[in-house]
Amino acid sequence: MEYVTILKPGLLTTVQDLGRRDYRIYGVSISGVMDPLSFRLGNILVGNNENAAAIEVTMMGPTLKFESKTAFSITGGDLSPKLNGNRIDMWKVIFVEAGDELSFGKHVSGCRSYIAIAGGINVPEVMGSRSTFTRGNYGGYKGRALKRDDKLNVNIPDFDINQLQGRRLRAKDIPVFDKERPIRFTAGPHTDRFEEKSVELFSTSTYRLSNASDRMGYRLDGEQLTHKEGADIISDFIAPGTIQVPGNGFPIIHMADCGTSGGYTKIGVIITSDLPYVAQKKPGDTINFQVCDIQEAQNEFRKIEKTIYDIELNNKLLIRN
Amino acid sequence: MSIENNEYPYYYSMGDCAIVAQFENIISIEVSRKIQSFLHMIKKHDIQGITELLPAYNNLTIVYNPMLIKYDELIMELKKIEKDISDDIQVESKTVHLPVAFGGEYGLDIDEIAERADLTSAEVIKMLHSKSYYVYMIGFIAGYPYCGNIDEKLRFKRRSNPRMSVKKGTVQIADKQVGIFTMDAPSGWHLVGWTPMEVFNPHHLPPGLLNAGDYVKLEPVSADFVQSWDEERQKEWNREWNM
Repeated sequence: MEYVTILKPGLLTTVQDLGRRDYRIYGVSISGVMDPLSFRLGNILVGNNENAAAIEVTMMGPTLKFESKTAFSITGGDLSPKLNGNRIDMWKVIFVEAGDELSFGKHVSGCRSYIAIAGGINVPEVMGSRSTFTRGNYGGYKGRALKRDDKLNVNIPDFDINQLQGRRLRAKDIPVFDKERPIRFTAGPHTDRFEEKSVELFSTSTYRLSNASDRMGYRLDGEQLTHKEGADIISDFIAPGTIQVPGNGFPIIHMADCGTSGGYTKIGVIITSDLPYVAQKKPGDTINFQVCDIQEAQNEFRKIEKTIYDIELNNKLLIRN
Repeated sequence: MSIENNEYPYYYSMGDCAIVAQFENIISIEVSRKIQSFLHMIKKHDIQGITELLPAYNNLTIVYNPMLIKYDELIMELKKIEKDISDDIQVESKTVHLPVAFGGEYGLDIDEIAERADLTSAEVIKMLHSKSYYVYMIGFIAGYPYCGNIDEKLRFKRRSNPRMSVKKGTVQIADKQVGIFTMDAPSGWHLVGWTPMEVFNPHHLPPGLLNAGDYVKLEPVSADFVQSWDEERQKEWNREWNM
């Protein structure tokens, strides 16, 4: 087993994978990475299974030391990653020797970076996932965000890492976390519970992520929406991407750590392909919604899955031990 | 009995990966049974592309992979089988008995509920433990069982000022519902008791003691009893009540 040592923890650095989907029937939050697109691409680059556990970095990155020779990639938002003090490229495979230090600098774009290390982070699975759910104190590394002096085990890859030599994502495949990019949503299910003017306002005005935004949900400041007859419904299913509007009229976007049920009217659901772009927004950033129909949303879904599949094929390892 | 009804369920999308089958918009065991019946039928038909079936009070969310089946196709498949939905289905269901210390420091709101209901605290407690409650759904953040229905006299809206932190194990009520907190969290419900029995444990498989469609019965025990609770007591309790 290899490991990395955390020298400085950063703002919120956690071990994540794609989450606990199979356990929602038990009322368990799906949790997992906020930006699955960047996370999956990072794992593919370093020869891992798409769902291998990686490190999610938030706004202010950690400093960590590699204790053995390995390879990793940094994907997601640009938080100025550096190796031994020198700026390194993102979206490509970087090789390191024992003792090399990875750190982060100033924020350039996005909100979260992913450090995927060849072999994947080795922490015990809890309910089918290695994701940290800090609210429940379970999963990931001891159920919490990483702290100074933590030693994170990394699996020894089942392939020769030299096969990763020269790997990088083509420019056209790299997501651009442009703040102006509109965020598409499918309307409803409770559109008719809002004043018509409010429905209109929601997709034409600019919202801003409030400071009370975290991995569980993003609270939005902006135009206040009006319900026709109250905000409450009989509790039912919610998921990351669901936009609920409670009684105060300000929308909340549910994110990775959200619960599985909620009791407020839902004005829309962010389309799966745009959710990573929401995850890369930080408090203070603006957000403009754009309504889209289910066919367009599903075409987009298939397009992105097809692209990821092609990237995976292009990066297929020829030899596994 | 098969139910002749053209209105329910009706379908709508919840984003690009989920369809909701909506039933009557009320909290009732009959509606819940229809949802359970539909859930089991869908499972039996093994429709391609469905990844999760998540029952709530009055609807069933069907999560699917749009790489495998499109929205319109899935609705067609669901419509083919909906005619056999029934509220008279035989599904596996169990009753879980939970030891609960009611009132006092374990149920801070019992006296207030009693006053508002014009009853004594003892009468409120008796009402709460004199019947089994149906588990409508499991949700919130970590295996919270939404159960009901509590006695009509005890139904009050949520507190206007929610408590910032309520302890794991707390038994609480709001409107028709009763639930057991599975982790410390904020709550606007009324606190009536506390159980030392673990209803949810992330390290167990399955993590929750209760499933939608089960029943839960609150068994009154003393404060001393819950204080002396340990693994041995839990085993004894389960041998006596939950086998």
